[in-house]
Amino acid sequence: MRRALFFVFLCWVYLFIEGTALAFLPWDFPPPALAVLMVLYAALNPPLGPFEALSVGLVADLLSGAPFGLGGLSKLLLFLALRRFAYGVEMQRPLLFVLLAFPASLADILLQEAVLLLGGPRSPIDPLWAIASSGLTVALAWPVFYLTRRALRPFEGKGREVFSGLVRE
Amino acid sequence: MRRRAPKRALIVVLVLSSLFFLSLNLTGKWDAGWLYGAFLTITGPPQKALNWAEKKVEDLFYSYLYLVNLREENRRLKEALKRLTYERNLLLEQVEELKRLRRLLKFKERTKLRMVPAEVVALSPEPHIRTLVIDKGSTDGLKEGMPVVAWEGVVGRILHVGQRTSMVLPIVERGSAVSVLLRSSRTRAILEGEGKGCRLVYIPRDKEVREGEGVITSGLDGIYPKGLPVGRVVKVTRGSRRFFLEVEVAPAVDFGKLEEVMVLVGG
Repeated sequence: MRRALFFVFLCWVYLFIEGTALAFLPWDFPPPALAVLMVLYAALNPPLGPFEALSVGLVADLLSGAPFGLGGLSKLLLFLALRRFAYGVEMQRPLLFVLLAFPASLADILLQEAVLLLGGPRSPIDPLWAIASSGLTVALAWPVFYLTRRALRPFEGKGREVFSGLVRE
Repeated sequence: MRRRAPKRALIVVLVLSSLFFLSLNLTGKWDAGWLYGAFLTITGPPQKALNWAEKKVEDLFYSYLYLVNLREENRRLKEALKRLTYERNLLLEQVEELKRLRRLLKFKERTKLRMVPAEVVALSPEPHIRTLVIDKGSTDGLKEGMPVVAWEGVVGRILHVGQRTSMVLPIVERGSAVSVLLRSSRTRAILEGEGKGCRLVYIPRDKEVREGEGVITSGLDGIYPKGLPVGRVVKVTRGSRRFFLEVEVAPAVDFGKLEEVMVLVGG
């Protein structure tokens, strides 16, 4: 439980610093999707699980002003897809994390756009903007991975097996 | 150790609960405003502190490494230019209004509004939605839906209010809509955000819209007072198979340089 809470708090800290820093950057500067990186981290690092992914999405919603539940749903679906994809591979490698950052970020944007389109017609997101944002997400992937791993080190060996997807034999 | 998929029942519950919250929120059956407000209240003080620290570092960098006086003077002149641009826009609108009023031989009293100055302290960290966080909240008299302006024109409206910070939905954000008038032709339209710019919708094809024409608020949406500059028409497309004109509008406010705004809190 403490690990989950700390993980969500860490996500809040990242997004909070990102949002404040963005106020000093040009309006057209595409924000990197740090929340997606946290979901990616959760997907590749059991025992972090779907509950953490959902919480990260909800925190992102509250910080961005998006409809409550939109980010939660997209991040949860993204988590499930990533966990399934990573099934059977060596999950905790930084390279895998960096490689998956770009498609994960784009998938998250597309998921949210698809859900919002269900609510009615609206202008589509600028594809270049989405690609640039995903590119910046990749650029920040390794530092986020490293910092998160360092920050979660005190919690190693603890956690809820029910969410982990790991069964000891 | 072997892996297995996370428990399906839990996943189904989580997906359904997020869908439930989202549908309630999107259909307006549940107002999550209080939740955003609470979150803004918690996030506000550290956000303002961090913003202050970042500003100090930025100030230190610019003020001491570059020419102090030149920068100060530049800032003053930019402020003056912004103020004059705003006043010019208001005057242009007043001239148009005066012409019409003279024709009608009537006088209409303009609404006097109180303004609360605020600073932009953060932007949305999510790529698909662009919102601003300002350093004023409910303790300063701010409420949801209040219009936010800059010297050049309309910025947006208050989306959520915390105790000392608020979230602003800019007019350029997708999903934002403002009832507007074209300054010269007095044609009514709806201005919709497109992410980077805006467009006018529901202008019939037979209406005359010129590039460069000013766009102002109509006051019909009950959010923005009438006559605030919104932007100017930059492109008009008259598709042969369409009922309405396609009109692109460049916002009056340069969002890239937006630091200070004013919230119109009423008379």
